[in-house]
Amino acid sequence: MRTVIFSHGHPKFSKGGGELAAYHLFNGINALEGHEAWFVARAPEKLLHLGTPVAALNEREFLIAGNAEIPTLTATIALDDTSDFADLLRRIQPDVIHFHHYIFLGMEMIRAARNTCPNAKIVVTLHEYIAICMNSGQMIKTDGRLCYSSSPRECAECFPDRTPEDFFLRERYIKTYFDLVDLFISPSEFLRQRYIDWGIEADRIVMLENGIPDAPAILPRNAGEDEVRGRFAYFGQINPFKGVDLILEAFSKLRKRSRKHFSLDIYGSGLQWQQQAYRDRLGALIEDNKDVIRFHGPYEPSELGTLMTSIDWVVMGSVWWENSPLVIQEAFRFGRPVICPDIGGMAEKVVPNVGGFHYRARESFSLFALLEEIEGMSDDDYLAMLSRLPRHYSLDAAVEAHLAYYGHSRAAVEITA
Amino acid sequence: MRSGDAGLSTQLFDPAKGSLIELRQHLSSTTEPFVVRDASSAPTAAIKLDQAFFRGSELCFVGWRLGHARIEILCNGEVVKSDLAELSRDDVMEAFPIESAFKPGFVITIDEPPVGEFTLRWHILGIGASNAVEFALDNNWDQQVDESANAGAHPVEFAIDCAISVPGRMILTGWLGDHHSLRGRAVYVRAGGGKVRMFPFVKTDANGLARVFRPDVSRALGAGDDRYPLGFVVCLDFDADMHREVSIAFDASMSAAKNVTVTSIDGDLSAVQSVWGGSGFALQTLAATLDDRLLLDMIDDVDVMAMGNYALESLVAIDRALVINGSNVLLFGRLMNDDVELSSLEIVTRKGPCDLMGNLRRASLPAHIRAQALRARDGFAFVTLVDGVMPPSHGMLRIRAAARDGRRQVFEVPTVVADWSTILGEINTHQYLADEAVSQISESRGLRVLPNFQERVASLRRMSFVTRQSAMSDHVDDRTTTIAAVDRVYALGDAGLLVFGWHHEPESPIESVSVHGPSGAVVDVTDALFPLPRQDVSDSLKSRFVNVAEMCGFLCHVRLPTQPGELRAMRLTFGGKRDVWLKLEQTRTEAHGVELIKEVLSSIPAPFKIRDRLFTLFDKGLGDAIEAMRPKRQVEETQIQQRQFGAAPASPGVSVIVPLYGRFDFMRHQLAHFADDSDFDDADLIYVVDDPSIVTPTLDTATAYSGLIRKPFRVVWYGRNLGFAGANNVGVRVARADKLLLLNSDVIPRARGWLSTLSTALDQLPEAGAVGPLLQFADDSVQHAGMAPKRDAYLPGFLLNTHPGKGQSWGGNESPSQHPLLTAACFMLRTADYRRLGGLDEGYVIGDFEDSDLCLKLVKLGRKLWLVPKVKLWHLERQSQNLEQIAGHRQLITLFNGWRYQKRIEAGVIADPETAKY
Repeated sequence: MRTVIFSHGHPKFSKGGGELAAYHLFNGINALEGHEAWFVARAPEKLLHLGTPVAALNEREFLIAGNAEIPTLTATIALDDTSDFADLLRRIQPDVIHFHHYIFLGMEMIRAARNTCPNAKIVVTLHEYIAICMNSGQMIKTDGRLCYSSSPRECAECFPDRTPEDFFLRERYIKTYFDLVDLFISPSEFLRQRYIDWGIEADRIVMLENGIPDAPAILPRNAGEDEVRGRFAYFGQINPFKGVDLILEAFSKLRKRSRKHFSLDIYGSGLQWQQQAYRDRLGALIEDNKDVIRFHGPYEPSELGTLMTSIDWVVMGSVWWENSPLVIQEAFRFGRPVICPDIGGMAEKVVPNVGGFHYRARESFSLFALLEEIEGMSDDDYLAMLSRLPRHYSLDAAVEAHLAYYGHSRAAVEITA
Repeated sequence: MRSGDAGLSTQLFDPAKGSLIELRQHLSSTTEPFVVRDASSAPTAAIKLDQAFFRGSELCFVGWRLGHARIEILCNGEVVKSDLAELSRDDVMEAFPIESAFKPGFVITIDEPPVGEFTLRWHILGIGASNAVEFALDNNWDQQVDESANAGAHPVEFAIDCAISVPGRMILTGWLGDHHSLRGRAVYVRAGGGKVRMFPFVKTDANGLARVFRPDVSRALGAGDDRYPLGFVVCLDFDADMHREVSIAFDASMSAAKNVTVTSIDGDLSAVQSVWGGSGFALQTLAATLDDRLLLDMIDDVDVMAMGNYALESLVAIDRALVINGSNVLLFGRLMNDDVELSSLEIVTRKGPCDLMGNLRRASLPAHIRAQALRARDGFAFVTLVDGVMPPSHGMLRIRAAARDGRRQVFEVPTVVADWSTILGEINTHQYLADEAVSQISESRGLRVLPNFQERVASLRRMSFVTRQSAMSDHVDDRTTTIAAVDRVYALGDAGLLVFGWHHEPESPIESVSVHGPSGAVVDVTDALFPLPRQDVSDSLKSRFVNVAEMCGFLCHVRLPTQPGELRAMRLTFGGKRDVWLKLEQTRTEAHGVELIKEVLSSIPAPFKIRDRLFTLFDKGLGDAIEAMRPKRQVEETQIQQRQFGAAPASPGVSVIVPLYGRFDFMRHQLAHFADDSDFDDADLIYVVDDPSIVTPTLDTATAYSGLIRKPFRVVWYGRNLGFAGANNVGVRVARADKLLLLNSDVIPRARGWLSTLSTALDQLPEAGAVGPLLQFADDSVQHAGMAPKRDAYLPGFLLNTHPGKGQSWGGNESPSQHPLLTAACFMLRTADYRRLGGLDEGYVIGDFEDSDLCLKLVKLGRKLWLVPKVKLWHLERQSQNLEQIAGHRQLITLFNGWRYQKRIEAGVIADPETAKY
């Protein structure tokens, strides 16, 4: 089977969870006998050649131009029969064309793929809610509130300079392309349900977790007797959606006598892209809580195991629904429980008392209260929780499941699901 | 006297016979004196007839005799009653050595002489009582004075103060140094190169000779005795009318003649005035005696002038008197006070008074002129043109005015000989009279003969208008008449002018309003002022005038063809008060066509306040004005450009026409939906770019999507914006299929196969002229399920459309139904029908009602309109307006279209949806 996976970025240049998942899948399929995979990742203009939107990194990996932005999701490269895009597909002759995301690539690429390869199966993995929500696909209102459902009228409320008709057209436009997709893959049931609510037939969309490569588990942190399990770490992008400020706020509330029992390590990139006010706010919180909080900056995925040895918990602060955060799978893989908000994909993946604990989303006080509870938690209870932690979804399993969906008819998919 | 003829002229007389000698020879001015001689041939007596003539009813014989005084006149042998006056004839006495105890000259007058043969009997005294000589007299009474016969008449000291010419006669006033010699003398008159005529100085009814005491003369002559009247006033039977000057003498030889300027009836009265003190009564008496109307009037004028114009309040003033082409007089004048009620105003001419009242054109005086006049409060200015007036040679016109209250005024004004440029200058000086002056000139019969008269008048009119207009203001603030302003003026070519402004009259309402142009064009717009609300104006005027109405604005459509840049002015009249002129300065605008319509409609303040009168507003001229503003240019075949995307279908079943304006992105949305519909494999899909600014991005979008959606379509453009109807009409011109689908760009299909379903419906439904689908909003509520006519009580006059069921959820029957009207947002019909009916009417601005119009044209053909609700499409109608909240120009454009729609229904151009069966 010949599979081409389109990704909105190459992990070499962009280290988001989506890109990594697509790349893992590509490598996973390629490693299997009888299967060939190609990886086509969107890249910014400066990484590409002049005069063609396609650049081969090697025989199996390509970069492709594209700058389809969230409002229109419209491709910016030529997609007709004579285009480099069509030529690339004709060279690959894929049986399966898997769009691991469509942002930057553009919706029209789906029709162009269908035009060029009428018999190929077209699969789309959904990451966030970009087709549904123009607010960066986060499904939170532009005034910050969580959004529970979309409609042209409601969306127009978020964007006063646009009309409900604009949103209706956007939705209709996207759906004319989604109509061409054979199968949608959603890494979380929560996200799947949102797309079903939006209009995609339930039988055309399956829940399938992104797998991650297996790795040896690490031991619990070597804590002293009566020592509080108070070592926390945040891994991920630093931006307002991720709620890093909320986590810092919760830790700043810790009472003086408790503070020596807690620490928070921040590992992540992206701070430099944030607005000055946000950066100042984070900086002030870090400065005022130097006794508890340490800011480390970016990290490599390969360092993750090492970094997790010295902590007890992975903490999340996301103010939006999330889909299936990679960091949760990573935490489970290394044997660390997750403290996360009680909404969306996070709540789905982290079962309370099994995979960690929830606090009320968007409330630093709730997280602070949880921290105080954890201060009183016995070591035995902590270790008991570790024993209950779910296994991560392995890449091998994910690859196998993908290939099964690739090969099956829609009816077969239903049976599997 | 010819000496050689002396023998022949001397007749012998035999006194021994002692009887009447009847001489059959004539005694006349042409014959030699008859001389009686004694034996020694010494003359003892002589007689000569110088002149015989009629004066009025009198027959006069003038002559002289020496030796024997007694003379009788006989007619048919009977003595006729006659009156003889003797005159001194020093010349005769010097010529003949004959002793005479009497004055030799005689003037015999016979009042109302009988008809018959006249003879003169000369009694030769001292010979015998019965001795007499009788002469035959010629019946040629009007003989000329024979100069030669009178040579040597003795001169006397005299002066002529004034010679007044009245038709056929001449009045002299003057004095003679010797009062004794007055009676019996003759006055000799010569004018120009003519002959000398002699008039005996005898009082008759005809000459009214009067003697006047002239103490001034007596004193000057040192006579020391002023008991005798030296002065005289006499009327001579002499026509001096053609002469400026006459020579007057009291001797036949005219050796002491004096030249006297003749005062004509219409002339300079200063000479008359100078003798008024001494001879005034005599002149008045003479005039009364003569009963000459013209003379009486003239004497009266002198009297009025002498009594002093200055003592009386002036009635009128003449500012300028122009003499054009010799005999036409153009007068600019003023009435000095508003309480003057003129009973007459005339120019004195030789032929009599020439009335000025009849032709008088009035105009109100501008404020600065009124300020100069001491007494004038609201006096008016006037201008008048009189043809056929020969202005007097002394360059002064005498004007005679009388008021009903008896006041009179006589005065003279200097005349100015005028050519066209002088006239223009005067008209510009008296701008407030310019219109009246020019119209008088243009109507003048006397001036019509001038070369290029019409062109001259046109240019005069134009130039005076230009000057006047440049001095006008577009606003006025005068509480006695109006506080008014013109805000906006739009020239619409043949359709005239559109004027926006406001006005408030604190005292009395406007009497009339008219609009004037330089070529003399005038349009009365008194009934065309449409009141508009102007709260801003009423608010600001309220502190000054409590009664100011909010509806003080106006819109006026002036049906006076006006090209951009042409000068126009508006005149408001107020009965007896001054007129107000407002300059109609055209509003500077770059806008034309629809943009201009928008600008104009945006100028209508608070249209919601006149909602119930909006139909009337359009009816009163705004509708026609917009009709004129809307672009009417046709798109030429060569201007239409098109590009085919994909391979054109060989035999398309339906041409789908989609106009694009502004939102070219709609095209990609539609194409994305047509991509998977096989109906579009052989449809003739035509995007008509009705917006030059989006041609390039539209073509770019078309190029980008053509390869992606893989359906054939065309993009058509023509570099213009024609509006919905025009764009569709161009699309249909290039359409290839037998059926048409008119489709809005914001209509999105819900499912495939809709086009063929509609096409089948058009084929199969009974008498179907057009079919349309159910159109739904994005939320699936009904946007269009057929339309129906609707009257709106808030907008009387208009026939609007209603969409039954709009906004409701669709629960209707899925089977086709007939409707009075369908929307053109998605509308299928036969190409042949469309072309036969002339397509969508492009007279509707931007686009409303033209689809209803097309429907009603189909209905007029007997076709039915079917809704096919099985076919459903989304229509993102965003242009919907609430007409009850008329805020901007867009709503007013819709109402214009509604007005036009109603008018076409009324005219029967399209079917009446309220009565048509469906």
